[in-house]
Parts: sequence; structure tokens; C-alpha cells
Amino acid sequence: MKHTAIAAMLLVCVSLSACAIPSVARRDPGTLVVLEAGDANTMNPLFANNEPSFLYYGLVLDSLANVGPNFTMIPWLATSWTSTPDRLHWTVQLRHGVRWSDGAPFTSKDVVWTWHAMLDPKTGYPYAGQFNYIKNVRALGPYAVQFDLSHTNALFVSGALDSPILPYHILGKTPDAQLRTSPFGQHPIGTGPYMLERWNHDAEAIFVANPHWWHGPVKIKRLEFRVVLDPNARDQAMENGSADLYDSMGSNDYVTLRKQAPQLRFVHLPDLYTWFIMVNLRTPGLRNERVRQAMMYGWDRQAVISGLLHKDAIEATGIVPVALHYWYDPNVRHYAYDPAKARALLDADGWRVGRDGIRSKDGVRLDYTLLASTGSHTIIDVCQEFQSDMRALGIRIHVKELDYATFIADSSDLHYQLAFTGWGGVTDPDEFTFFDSSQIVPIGNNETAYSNPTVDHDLQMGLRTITPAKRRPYYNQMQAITARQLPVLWGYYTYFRAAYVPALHIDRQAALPDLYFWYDVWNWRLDR
Amino acid sequence: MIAYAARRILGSIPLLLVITIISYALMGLSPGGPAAILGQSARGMTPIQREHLIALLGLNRPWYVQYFYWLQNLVLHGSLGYSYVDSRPVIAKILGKLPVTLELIGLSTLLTLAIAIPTGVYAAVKRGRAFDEIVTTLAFVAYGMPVFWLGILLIDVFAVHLRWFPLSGISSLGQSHNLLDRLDHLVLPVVTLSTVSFASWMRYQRSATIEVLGAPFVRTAHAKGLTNWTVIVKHTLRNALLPTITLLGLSLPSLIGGAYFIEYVFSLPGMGYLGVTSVFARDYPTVMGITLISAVLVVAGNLLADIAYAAVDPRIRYD
Repeated sequence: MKHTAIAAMLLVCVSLSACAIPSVARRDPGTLVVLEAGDANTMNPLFANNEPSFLYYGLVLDSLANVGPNFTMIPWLATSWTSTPDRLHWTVQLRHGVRWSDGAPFTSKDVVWTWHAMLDPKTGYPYAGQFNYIKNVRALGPYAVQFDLSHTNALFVSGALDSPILPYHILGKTPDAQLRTSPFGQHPIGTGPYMLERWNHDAEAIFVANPHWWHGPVKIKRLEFRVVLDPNARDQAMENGSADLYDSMGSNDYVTLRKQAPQLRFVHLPDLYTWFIMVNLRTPGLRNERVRQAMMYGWDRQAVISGLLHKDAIEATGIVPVALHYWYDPNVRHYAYDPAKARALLDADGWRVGRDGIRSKDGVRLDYTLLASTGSHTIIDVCQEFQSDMRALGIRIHVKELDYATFIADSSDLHYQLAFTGWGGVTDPDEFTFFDSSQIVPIGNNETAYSNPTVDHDLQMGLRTITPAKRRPYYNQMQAITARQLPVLWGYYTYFRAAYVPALHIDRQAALPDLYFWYDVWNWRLDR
Repeated sequence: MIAYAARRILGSIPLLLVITIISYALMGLSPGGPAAILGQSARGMTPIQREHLIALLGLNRPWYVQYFYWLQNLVLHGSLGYSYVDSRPVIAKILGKLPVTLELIGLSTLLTLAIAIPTGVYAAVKRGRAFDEIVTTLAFVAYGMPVFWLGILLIDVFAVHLRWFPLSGISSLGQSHNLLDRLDHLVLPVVTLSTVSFASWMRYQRSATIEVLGAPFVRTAHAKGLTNWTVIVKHTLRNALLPTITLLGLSLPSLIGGAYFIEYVFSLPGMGYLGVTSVFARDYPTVMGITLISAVLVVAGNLLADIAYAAVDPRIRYD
């Protein structure tokens, strides 16, 4: 009797465990299952502050102009845009017959209201300052809008017309100061190719095709974004076929999946980010250009790329990432690893090695603190490699790990000496706010206190000139000067990586990195 | 009893106030400041723009002023405010996560009780023998283990190497409504939390049983010729369970605290996970909401334990 009871219990346990073994879920073949490492915060573009949020609202909300192949801007909700010869007044013609996903018509009222909300300081739109050159936006009828600018700005089309348009009939009655807490961020209505069907925070967000989309029916009718926090679980899901697409993956996952899941297809492109060590140019010793050049020659970036980044990065030469082919200038000064040359530069400049192995000159010791934001082991490892390389030159580096908030606070008010950081994500070479001498913090983002009249001129002319061919020489010169003067120690450019199942058809030749990867989602096809 | 409960509830209000003041002060005085709430957008904003936005949210005021407004909102409108991260009502965010935390704590408590009580009773009956010594040693080892370390160890052995259980999360992809799949995901977290709490429960039960085993009524029961099984189950266990009921309430703080660590280690989307990520993001309203709800759960747990104690032991009366 006793044995029978034990046997019965064992049987029940075994049956339960067998049932509990996770199986590949039976899925709707027309649904694209996408893996995400984190969840969005809001789908209201006025307050979105992480990548999944930018991605999600991009599916639901359309803009007047959209990014096309090679980062060109193509008409979207707008059919055309023209300007006066002085480029201060732009008339934008809107598409007729566009409807919001709830069926309401899209008109110039929506555009005017969106811009009013974006520029109103009470709204608290984080990027409002980037559009301070827009003086006024007014309707010229139900399907035409005029933008009045205070000065010419080359970023008007790629920056301003690329902004998503919000529905006036839903949000127009909400005071600007209350837009932040409006339920719209969780239940958006848009003119984009998809509508939000369901959103369980930190678990899943499901989008279905918008039947009112002006462009016509999308080919994939349903998108399911699944939040999987653990990278190993994401790899497993791609390997066993329970997910179809995993984009913006880290280099570890990319290497693993390439090896373990050869059936998958991959997109692998240089992304829009540059990683570097920012230098506070007001720091004694570091303000010396030769010292910075010596640091560049003494930093074995190839070892970092081979050892820590799985050979999946490119040595950086400047602020313009290699992904922006048209603007990137490869013909600038390169700093191949050459510790002998680095030492010679320091010796020639009079920096003598002391008893403790640290160089000094006129009472200034080459002994600095390098800030690094915690949260990424790779960044900390890269900083430690840099520390070791500098030690060999006679420069002492203390790596100080800070939480993100402290890092931002310390690095943006010149209370630092060196700081490892990244910059980018945009499709234009303009870096006015980062390098122009009028933009030294707290006014702009010039966190190095860099000042060079020629670079200032290049950046200002680059912004005032509209034609790309005429703009390019300014940015080439800016890249050449900053490569020589090194307001930052250039680290590396990274890659965008995505893995997907063969049933998913993406135009790989036209694929773009980062969030722009999704620019032609309406054209993707799923055959199974 | 009702008057006693009412007095206890009123008495807990100052306690909750002190907890919230300390929590708010700790957050307000921590380095870095509120720039973290701007997330990825912080990098692209100028310091002046960041200051403007921080002022708009009222985060440039001293922490005690912010606390005052938070408390005012809670008392006058019964609202825990809106999250700085996603602008959702804090209460909605917490309620969305609470079930996972309750599941974890509930299952872990059940498992702990199911193992610790019989083990404690048996160890008491076999006092000083090999079983007692082994179990006591194991219990102390388990008690000394940090919960997050044990969690990582179990993940490494059972999820990474043996692949018996999932690495993390609450469900497999597309299986969110599959109960067995959910249980499969909860095995390692529940075992981790239970292992750490097992020691104290077992030791309490052992001590209580030893005390009752020496009582005159147990000797009487033996003298009446009852079997050992009947004496232990019917006479000893019922009386020896009383201290355990008290412990149930008192162990809530450590259970909730442990659950928070475990949720983070196992990436379980519960209240603890939300709490940890909200601390990193300096999402003050969400952190305060979680602190308050956790404190209320602990206070309520203690009160319920006292009431339950009186209910099962007729000798105890609260006047």
C-alpha cells in the first residue's frame, strides 16, 4: 500500500514535469514575433525616453517626411515641401485622404497643434531646444502648413519634418502641462501602418495593421513584441524558432547565434554611434594637444576591438560615424597603436617620468580620473584596458564607476577630467551643439570646452547651407581638425546587428541601422 | 478584538509616516540627482534644457518639500502620483506587478511550511540523534547564504548547466497563459526563497515541539496508551504550531525583502523588480508607492498574526 502510494506520487510528479517542459508555442503564421531586451515607457513621442518607446511610436505615428534608403528624406504625410529663396519660410503640402486609426481625418490642424505642443515650454518636451529656430507654424488651409524660421537651418527637413504628428482631436483639449500624464501614451491613435492592440508592460506589445493606413495594406498583419530580459533566453528563442526577429543585439549574442543558429539570416551594419573618451580641456596637462596625441598613439584600440568587442567594431577617426557614408571622411589623421611614438611625443614635450613612474612637468602630473557609467561591463573593461595602456606611457588613470545619473551630472558640468561615453543616433553630420565654442556647457552639449574658430565657422556654415554637396567640405574640414586636435580621444564605431528567420523577407541591401532598421517595416513580408 | 485592531491600525500610521520620510530622504540625498529620469533623452539635452525639465517636474525643490507634496497628494486625493519614467499612475504600475510577488511569496511560504514543519517536529522527536544534527547543520548553512548568491548558484547549476529549468522570467515566449509553464519558471525562485527561510521555520518548530513534548498532557497521552503518531499529530503538533503562526507575520519583512532580490536575479516582473529598476531610474513616485505598499503589507501581516494567535489560542485575549 505504502509503495503504491509512493509510486502514484512519483507518477503524478513525472507527468507534471513532462507537461511543464516549455514547448515552442503554436503561433499564428502571419504574426511576426520580435524580441526586445526592454519595454517601452510610453508611445507619446513628446515624452518617450528609451529605444523601445521610439520604436513603438514609430509604428503607430507617421511624420511629414520619412527616412528612405541611404537616409534620404522622402515625402510621407507631406506630399512636398518648398521654401522661399532665403530658406526662412517653408510651405508643406499635406496628403489628402489620410485618416487616423479611429477614422478621423488628418488635417493641418493636427500638424499645427503638434508643433504648438512641442515648442510650448509647459509641455516639457525634452528636445524642444533643438527646434528653437522655428518661430511659428500656421495652417494655410486644411492641407497646407507654413513653417517660419528665425534663421536658415539645414536640419529642418531631416529634423523637424521627421517628427511624428499627434492627433488634435484626441489631445487638443488637454492642457500642455498635463500632456505628460495623458492616457494617450498608453493608448495611442496614429496615422502609421500599425495600431496598438494590447500592451502588457514588461511582457508584450501587440500591434495590428491599421486598416486606414494611407499607403495601403501592410504585408505583415500582426507584430508581437516580446520583452525577454535575459540575453541567453533571447538566444534560445531565436534558436528554437519561437521568435522571428531579434534586432539591436549585442556582439555576444551575435557571435553566439552565428555559431549556433546557422539557419538564421543576419543584418550587420555599422551603426550611428561613436564611442570615445571625452577630455575636459580645462584640465592641466590634458589641455596640451601633444599629450592627447600621445594618449591616442598609446591606446591599443585594436586590442580592445579584438579582445573585448569580438572584432565587431571599427577604430573611430572622428565624430561622424562611418555609417554616414556620404559625410564620413576617412582621409583624416589616424592614430595606429605606436607606444614608442607616444613616449617620444611626451619626452619631446618635456614630460619626465618620476620615481613613481608617473610623468610630470612644471608641477603638473599626468594623473587623472576617468569616469565610466556603470551598467555595461564592456565599458568598464574598455576603460581598464585604457588604464593599463596609459600606465605603460607613464600616465596614471583611475577608473571611477558612476551610476548613470551621477555620470551625466558630473560629465555635463565640467566636473571631470576624462569620461568614456557615446554619442550619435542621428543621420546628419551636424555637431554644432557638441563642438561649437558658443555651446560650452551649460548652454549646449560642448562638454569638453573645445574652442576653435575654424571649426565654429565650419559648423555654422554647415547649418546654414542646404545643398549636401556644398555642406560636405565644411564637415570634412571639421573632421580633419578635430582628428588632429583631439577634443576627445576617439575610440571606436560599433555595429547594428539583427537576426531573423528565413521566412521573413527584408530588403537587406537597403537596410539601415538602429531604429531606422524599421523604416520600411510596411514592406517586409513573411512567407510560411 | 475590534478595538484592539483599530488601536493597532491607528498606531501604525506614525510608523508608516516615519518609513516614508526616511525613504524619501534617502532618495533625495542620494548622488546623481533626478537626471536619471530623463533616460536616454538626457544625453541629447543641454544642461539648461535638463534643468528646465527637472524644474517643471518640481524635482529642483528640497526633498522635504517634494515629500510634503507627495504626502498631500496621498492624503487629499488618495493618489500615489504618476511615474516619472512612463507617466502612468503609480498604483496601476504596482497593481500590475503585485500578483507575481504574491505568487512568489505565497508559493515559497507554502513550500517552506510543508517542509520545515514536519522536519522540525521530526528533529524534535529525534532530538540529539543523527537526523537532528544533520538537519540543524544544513539549516544553519542555508540560513547563512545570501539569497541573491543562492539564486545565482541555482541558475548556474539547474538552468545553465543541467538545463532543467528556465533561466529567468515568468513564462516562456507565447506561453503567458500556460499555468504549468509559469510554475516551471517559478521553481528556482521559490526554492531559493524557501531554502533561506526554511532554517528559521524549522528551528522554531523544533524548539516549540521540544517544549510541548515535555508538557504534562503529552505524558498523560502516552500513559493513556496512545500511539506515538497520535500523540505527536493530535496533541503535540496542534500546540507546537502556535509560535509558528506568530512567525508567519514576523517573517513577512524578510520574505518581501528576499522576494525583491530574487525577482531581480531571476528577472521576474514583480513589485521587487519594479522597485529596483525604479531606484536606478530615480522614479521617486514609484519607489515611494512600493515602499508604502510593502510597509503596509508588513504591518498588516503582523496585525493578522496577532489576531490569528488569539483566534487559535483561547487563553489569549486582547483588551
